[in-house]
Order: sequence, then C-alpha cells, then structure tokens
Amino acid sequence: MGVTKHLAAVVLAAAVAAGPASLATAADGEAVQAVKARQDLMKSIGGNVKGLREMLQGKNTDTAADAQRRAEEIAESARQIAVLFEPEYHISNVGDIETTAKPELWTDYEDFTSKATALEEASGELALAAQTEDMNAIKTAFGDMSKTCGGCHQAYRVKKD
Amino acid sequence: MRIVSELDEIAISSPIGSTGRALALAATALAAFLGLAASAMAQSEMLERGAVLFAAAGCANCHTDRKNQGPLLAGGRSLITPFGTFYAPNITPHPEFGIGAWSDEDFIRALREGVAPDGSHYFPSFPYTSYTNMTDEDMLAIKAYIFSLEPVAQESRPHELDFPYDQRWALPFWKWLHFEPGPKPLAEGQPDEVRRGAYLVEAVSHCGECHTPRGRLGGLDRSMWLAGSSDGAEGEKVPNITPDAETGIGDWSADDITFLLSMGLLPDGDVVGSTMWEVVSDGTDQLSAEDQEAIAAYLMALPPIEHRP
Repeated sequence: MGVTKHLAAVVLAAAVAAGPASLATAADGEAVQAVKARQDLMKSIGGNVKGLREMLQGKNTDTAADAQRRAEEIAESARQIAVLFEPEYHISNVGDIETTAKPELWTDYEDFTSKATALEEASGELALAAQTEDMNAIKTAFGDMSKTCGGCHQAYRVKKD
Repeated sequence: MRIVSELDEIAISSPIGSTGRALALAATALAAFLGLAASAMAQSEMLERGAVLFAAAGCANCHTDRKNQGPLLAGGRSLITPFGTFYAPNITPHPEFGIGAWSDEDFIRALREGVAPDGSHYFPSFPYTSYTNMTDEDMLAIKAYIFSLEPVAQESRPHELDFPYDQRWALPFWKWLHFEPGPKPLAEGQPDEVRRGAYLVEAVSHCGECHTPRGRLGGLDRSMWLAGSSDGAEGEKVPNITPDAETGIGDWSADDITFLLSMGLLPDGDVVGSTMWEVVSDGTDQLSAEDQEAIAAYLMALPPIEHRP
C-alpha cells in the first residue's frame, strides 16, 4: 500500500532526525509507529526552534549557515506532518499510547494540513532570510514561523500542565 | 453674502487695511486647515494607539466567539469558571446590541468602576478590577478603536452561574470586599521601565486575573500575586510567573520573556499552551519591543513566591 510505504519512509526519516533513542520497534502496530514518529518529528522541530532562538539570543555559536540548515530541516519535517497524522492514525486507533492530539485535528483535517503547509512555507522563508545573513530579517522570519507553530498547537494540541 | 458683509464691517471698523484683511483671512483658513489636519492626525494616532492597547488588553479574546468563528467582538465566548459559565457580551459599536450608544463617560465608568450605563454592576469576569488603573486617555483610545470596527446585530447571551454567584444584587458587597477603584499609581518608587511594565501587566493585560489564585468569593489573593493558580479559566492550571527559581520563572532571562510575549515561544523550543497563545497572538505580540521589555523588567523585579499550582 502506497501510504504504508510512505509512512515507513517518513518514520525512518523522522527516526534518523531524532536519533536512535526513540526508534519505533517493528513489533509496534503501524498506528503506534505513526504516533511515535510524529512525536519524534515534533521533538526534532522543537530542537531546531530552540537552536534558532538561542542563536538569536546570542546563547550559542550558531552562524547564519546553521540557521539556514535548521530552517531547511524544519521545512522538511513540516512536509511530513500531514502523512503522520493521516485519518487512519486517529487517536482512537492508537491503543493506549499517550498522545496530545485533539480529535478536532481530524474533523478539521484540511485546516490542519493547511497549517502544516504554512509552517513549511514560513520555514522556507526563514531559510531564505538566513542566506542574507541579516539578523533582523532572520529574527522577523523566525517570529513569523514560530507563530505558525503556536496557531496550530493552540487549535490541535491538548494543553500540557 | 452675510458673512462677507460682516467681515467687511469688521475690516472697516478695524485698523487693518485690505491687505491685512486678506492675510488675516488666509491665516484663518490656514489655521482651520491645520486644525483639521492636526485633529485627523490625532485621530489616526489615537486609533493606532487604541489598536495596540485593545490587543494588549485582550478584549477580542473574551468578546469574540472564536471557537465558532463568531464575528469580532459580537460576544458569546464562554468563560468556564468555578462559579459558573460567563458569556462575554457584544461590544461592537452596534447602537442596540453593542455599545454604539455609549458616551465616553459610559465607557470610562464601565472600565473604571465596573458599572453599566444603566447603573447595574458587572461581574468581575469583566476585568474592570484591573482596567480601573488605566488612564482615561488609554481607555478612550480603546473606545475609539472599537468604534472604528464593524457593528454586529447579535444579542448577547446571559451568563449561566451557580447559586449564589448568580445574585447580581450582591455585587456591590463583593466590590466593597475586593475592588478598589483606580487609577492608583503602580510600582511606585521603581524605575520608569518597571513602572511601565506594571501598568501593562496590572492595568492593561490584566495578567493577574489568571496568574493569581482566587479566594472562595473570587477575589484575587494579592499575597500570592502572579504566583500561579490551579483553577484558571477553562479549568487550566496557570503557571507561577514570579521569579522564584524552583516554581516560577526565576531562571528565565529578560529575552526569554520577550520571546514568549512576541512569538509565544518557551525557552525549550516549545510553544505556550492554548489560553496563553490567545493572549500572545494579536495580543502581546502587538506591543512595541520597549513595552515587552518593560513587562520583562517588571516580572523580574517581583518578589519571588514559592508556589506550585
């Protein structure tokens, strides 16, 4: 099945991005693999956001080239979001694995995927801004990108305590 | 023409000659033009200022039913609290269903005293307890901005409160216990930046309404100012934002705070939770960098309180 193959590729990509610690095992069902993969994907995005932010705050030694790489990685992750949240990986299909996805994500699936596309575009803009090496432009593009994260999480993620 | 003849009479009776008269007329016309231009400028500046304050005061968050794509400020968003469910009313400039018929005095009285134009008292779910410390000028800038928006003919939904909290007649008593009409000076004796931050946090953005725990009757426990609350709106836990290292945000830098206020980002690369995102998006993100820094300076100057909500 095309989707399954696609999922396998995405799971692998996400696992590589997140490192071996959280590799989904073959014994897990496909839906569980999808949940683990999307959690790893979010962690990977979060790690890159944190790195970008620390660069802007002068807390790490990242260069504009690092910022560009991180932005491109985020764009790549954003492209995988829709696949990992496909309707067959609905929270009701994933057994007792913990997930903070809201059911609305699937009832408003089109809106959800358009928000993922917004992240992909905004991180693409950030990568372009990074090429200019203009810190103000990078900061503005980073802010615009971060807002796409917040808008989507606000709508589709259960709030953590 | 009558006006001209009157002017002629004035000219004749005055020592100014005809050139002087022409100059006087030109000067009058110029003054009138400049006056108009200045008031147009003042008007647009006031609207701009009002737009930012409106965002920072979070008016749209409660007065718009965003969940159901309701029209801006037409009311209807539910605020679930331990006392029952509040529905914020229509505050569009519609003369019948909104506040379009309100005078400046009506608007100021509502925000300063929590009293409606008909003399009835508002429940403190409308945070006049904070807005009371805003300046008249800022209140009127917000009013000007609201009045520039679209009027919506939509009836406001009544609150659904549990007994005895539904007893509106008891509100003056509640106010006597828990409300001190302003404007009172905030963070007196502190540096200007901290005082500006205090004004934004305490009067405008009313952060304490969620981040400070409440007593049994819903009054804020001021001894726990901004130390977090375990029963915020929608039943959410609201974090401690005093600079306590263990339970608050003592390990945050000033720009950790401004990153949150401007982009909704947490230091760990995550984004803020749902209700705070509403506060940031089209809210604190509209404030100038100086104002966001002022809020950070104020929060960092607070006494740290150890409290884990």
